[in-house]
Amino acid sequence: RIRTAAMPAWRDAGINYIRYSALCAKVVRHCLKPELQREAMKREGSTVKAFLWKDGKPSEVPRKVVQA
Amino acid sequence: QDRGLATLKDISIRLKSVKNIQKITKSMKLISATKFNRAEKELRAARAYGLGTKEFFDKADIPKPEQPKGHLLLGITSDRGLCGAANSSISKAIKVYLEGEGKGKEVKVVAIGDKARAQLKRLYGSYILMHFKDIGKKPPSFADASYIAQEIANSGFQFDTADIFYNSFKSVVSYKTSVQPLYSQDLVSQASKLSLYDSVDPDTLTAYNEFALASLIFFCLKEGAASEQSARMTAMDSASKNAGEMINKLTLTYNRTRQAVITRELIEIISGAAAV
Repeated sequence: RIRTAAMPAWRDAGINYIRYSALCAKVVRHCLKPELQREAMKREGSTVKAFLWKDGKPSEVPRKVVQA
Repeated sequence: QDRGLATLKDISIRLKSVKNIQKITKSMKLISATKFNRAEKELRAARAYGLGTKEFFDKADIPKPEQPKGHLLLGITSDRGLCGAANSSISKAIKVYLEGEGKGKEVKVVAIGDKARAQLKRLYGSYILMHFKDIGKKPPSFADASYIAQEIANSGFQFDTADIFYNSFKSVVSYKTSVQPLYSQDLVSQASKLSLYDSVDPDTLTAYNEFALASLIFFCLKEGAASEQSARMTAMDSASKNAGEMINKLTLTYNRTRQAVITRELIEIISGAAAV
């Protein structure tokens, strides 16, 4: 199968595009000037918790957050 | 005489409690009005994400399979109630689908928000793949949406198509429960109009599909948040109005009863004095 472009390094490393772009955004946020950084840092981090279900019952413990 | 006084006290207790409830609903309306303004402002910025992705899926002419191998339903609600029919309409739409089109197909449900979980767990618990909590306290961010997308991608459930049920924000007084379809990697690469777009090698498509999942979830979360706050505003407003009407009626009854008690006492005193 001919690939027109080589597989990106991040995909080879095992992360998907969502994680990759979140990491890039985090780096950019940390590079901002302090006045602009304050507003941007509010957008970082997520409070959402996920619970997987098995056989119609939810798990007691939320999934560990693997965030950028 | 005793019965008259007891009713008077009951009415005054009831009047006080309804007045307190009216204060609470009025303040809840103000709070959700401020949250709504913020949500609407953020929605205007977020619309670009969703509409751009929607355009691609609409124009690419993706074939809809008759028997999709795996279908995922996402219901976007909030953790908090008192917002009118906003949350229950999502659960209702999911139930209607599960009873109708979804019967016999391999369907799984992702409940975003406690309300969806609570309303679906009793009869449709076996369909639920995972649920998400702590939505609705803070305005949704792209980080939230990408976390949700990550968990769905890592869940191991293979789905060909997906539907996001969310409340699309129309105006301050109206929202519409809508469906946003999503497609898997394989279906997108079979799209007939794909040649219209250039530089679509498989890697770009995979990356774009993952990004599309996150940005569509983000778009639906934002729309849902704005609809929820506007619905709560309307609900608290009508609750305050109803409480106001109740207060008026109770005040009239209270005055009438008070006058009746006084009249009865006067009659008893006069007839008692006449007997002595």
